Amino acid sequence: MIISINNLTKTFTTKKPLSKKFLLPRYEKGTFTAVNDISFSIQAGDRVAFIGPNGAGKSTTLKMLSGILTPTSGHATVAGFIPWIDRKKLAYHIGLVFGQRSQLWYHSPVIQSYDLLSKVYGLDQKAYRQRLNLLCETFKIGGMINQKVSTLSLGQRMKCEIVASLLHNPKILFLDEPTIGLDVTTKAELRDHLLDLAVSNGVTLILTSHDTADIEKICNRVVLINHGEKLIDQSLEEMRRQYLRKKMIVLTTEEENPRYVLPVSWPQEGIHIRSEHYKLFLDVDPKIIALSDVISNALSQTNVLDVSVGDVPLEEIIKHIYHLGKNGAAS
Amino acid sequence: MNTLHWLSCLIAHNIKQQFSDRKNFLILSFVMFAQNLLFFQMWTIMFSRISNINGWKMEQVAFLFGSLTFGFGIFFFLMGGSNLIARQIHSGALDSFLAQPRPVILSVLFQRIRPDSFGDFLTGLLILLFYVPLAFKPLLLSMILGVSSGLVMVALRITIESLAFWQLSEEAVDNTFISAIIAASNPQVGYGPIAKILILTIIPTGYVAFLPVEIMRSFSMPLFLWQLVASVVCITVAVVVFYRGLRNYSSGNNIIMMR
Amino acid sequence: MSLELTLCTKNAHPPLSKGYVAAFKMGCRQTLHDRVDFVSTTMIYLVLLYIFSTIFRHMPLHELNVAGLRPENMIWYLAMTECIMLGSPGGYTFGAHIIAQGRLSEFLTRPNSLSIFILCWLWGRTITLSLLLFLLSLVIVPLLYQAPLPIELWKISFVVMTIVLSCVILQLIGFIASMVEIFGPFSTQVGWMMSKMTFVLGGLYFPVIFFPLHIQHFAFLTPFPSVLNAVGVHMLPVTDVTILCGFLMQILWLAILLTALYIANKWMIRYVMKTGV
Repeated sequence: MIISINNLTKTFTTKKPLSKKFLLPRYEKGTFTAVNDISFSIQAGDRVAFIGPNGAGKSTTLKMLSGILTPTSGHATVAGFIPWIDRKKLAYHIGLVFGQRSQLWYHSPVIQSYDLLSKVYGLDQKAYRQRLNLLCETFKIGGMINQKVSTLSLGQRMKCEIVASLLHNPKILFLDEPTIGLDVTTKAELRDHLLDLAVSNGVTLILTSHDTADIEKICNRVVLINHGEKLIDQSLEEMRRQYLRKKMIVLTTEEENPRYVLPVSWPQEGIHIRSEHYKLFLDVDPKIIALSDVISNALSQTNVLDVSVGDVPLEEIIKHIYHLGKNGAAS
Repeated sequence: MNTLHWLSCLIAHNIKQQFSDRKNFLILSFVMFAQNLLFFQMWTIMFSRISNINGWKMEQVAFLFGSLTFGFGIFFFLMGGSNLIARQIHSGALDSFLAQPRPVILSVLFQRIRPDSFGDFLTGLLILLFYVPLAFKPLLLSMILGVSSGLVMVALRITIESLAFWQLSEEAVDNTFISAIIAASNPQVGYGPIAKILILTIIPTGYVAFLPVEIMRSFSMPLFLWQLVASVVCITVAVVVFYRGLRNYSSGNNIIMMR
Repeated sequence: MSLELTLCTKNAHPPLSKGYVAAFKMGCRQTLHDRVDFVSTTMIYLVLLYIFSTIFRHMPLHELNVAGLRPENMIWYLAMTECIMLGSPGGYTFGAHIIAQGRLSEFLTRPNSLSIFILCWLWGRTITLSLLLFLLSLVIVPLLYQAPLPIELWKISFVVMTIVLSCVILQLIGFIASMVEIFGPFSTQVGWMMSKMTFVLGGLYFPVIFFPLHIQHFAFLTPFPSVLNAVGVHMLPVTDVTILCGFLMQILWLAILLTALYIANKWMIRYVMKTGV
């Protein structure tokens, strides 16, 4: 067990201004619970996606696990250390990547930042060179490490950032939105590199992202939190099985906005209908209504050009779970 | 008229926006005010030991400092964009101003107001009231001279910032302006003829303090008119340099993109 | 491909000093590489010295002489203090930038002390720039401003030592002051006030002995004369005892400020870890 968390809670005190008087402003003190009683554990080598809407408490939890934030109550160990007490000892075992922040020195060549980091972690210089070469090969950044960081594109910089966090061979890598703002190809490349690294090197990955493709591609487990509480903690497969009972039928029609062509008598039970331009999306629960019925029904009502049946995408599942969570029916 | 109306709306909008956070505005201008007065103490301390520097006494230095901060304060308060030009040239942020159907230079200069410059203005006002004889004529004269030297400062700022069109870096632009302000805002005594010609022509820092102080010491109409005309010429040159540089703007961007 | 490579560390806790030395070197290197910055800083230095050399030369000699000074002393004094001030551009805001950009968390996940690491980098930058300006002054002040070096050559090593100490002290003051950024974006304003205090109380243009007595007394209760006056005083016609006193004051303030840094750093980390700034 490389990470275990028990009843972790973090409360912030907030100040709400009561009066706008310039000299004697008065505030009402309140509290805001960012993370509420979260418990879970992670095995070495796991690749965990940590997801939830904005402000759900993902970053707060990551910060507590990396030792930057002291929790209000609860207990956690990371790689055998209590992060907020043994922060500096833990530092040798974890790496951190923030998609929106840089740990490279902006006006200097990338290699200088790397050399500096190698000294910070007291790496043996020969081993460091070897490892840097390997990482450059894996992430294909060999050509750019002599360039100034300010001249790199966002995608190139992100790769260099990740390599910077891996120089000291951490057991755990925390990634906060690593693919934010990147284009489709670079994202795909980065995912491949990360997966390759995690599998071959046994690094435990903990990743937050709003891009479900990141999660599908890299992770094998999903922890979903909302309003500071854990809603779901299961493997990606399990999650699919549970929520992918449903199938999605996509019909391409001749009519625009086909939803409005359908008669009112169209079956309602077990179907969720959406339409977009010339497409009709039907989320169908096959236990309630047979797929063939739905399709034949649709064919009789509209001029269908194309039909496809598939799993509901992860994004839809997550949206669905958020929705359930909001309505207080998470379990 | 149309442009003037637009400009007044823009300024009103900027001020309203700044005043929505009144506390911040007051703190910023007060700190600027306090630090200016603190800086000014250097001269009072020095003149407690030294009677004059080549004829410059405390009144001259006080007028120099007061009129400079007064004029500087007014212009930089309203034209808060003046110190952003180089940064916006390099980041390509001028695009949004180029797309507007208004004079680019005005859009750039009046894009925001700088609350701290209001503190400059207050310092200047206080020092002028304290050191200039409390009579209508000298006060009016000192304020007019202050405004004209402020105009020259703005002109210098625009000209130097526009050098970024010719690939001068932001830091270099800042440091060049600091050099100019140091040259302009300290007592200018005992200059030889060459130095005098230089500061009244190519490097027009003489119009910020040197000439106004002379005019204040013994008023003469020709010198006064010369000062006013020179400040207008300076700002005209600055605008010309800006627009000349603006022609490089798009081509400059292309070079960056091709790299 | 396998990335299996046992790495790292010769022992469990490698010496942290290596990281600090590397940060210091990084700072030095950045100053040396930034040529545009050096050239434009030199330009300010030249303009300043020109303006003030004319001012000093036009002060009534007998009034300067009361304090035993000559214009050449004053020019050299300014050349020294400006080495320090121009050598620390934005001296009060570097630390604040790191806080404002939210980079504290990044430094907190490193094995070494956050403040010492940042300070080492700042020291590397500023000491290099200040010493470069000092070397420059040795050439240009006699040549351009007709002021021969008023001290024996062998004393230059002492001047270098005080310049280094001054830079260290200035950055310490600046870093501690910039911690207010944690409470909000005030560090720019605090920085302005601090730099003006340094100018006035440290004696930027004129040595502190030039001040009225009560201001002198007050000034010496602050660390600012140890930043500027202690360096400039080498160039004045004063006894070795005065110079030694300045040096001892620097050591004293260094000790006080390091203690203050230790406390402030501890407090800051606790605050950040509690509130997650």
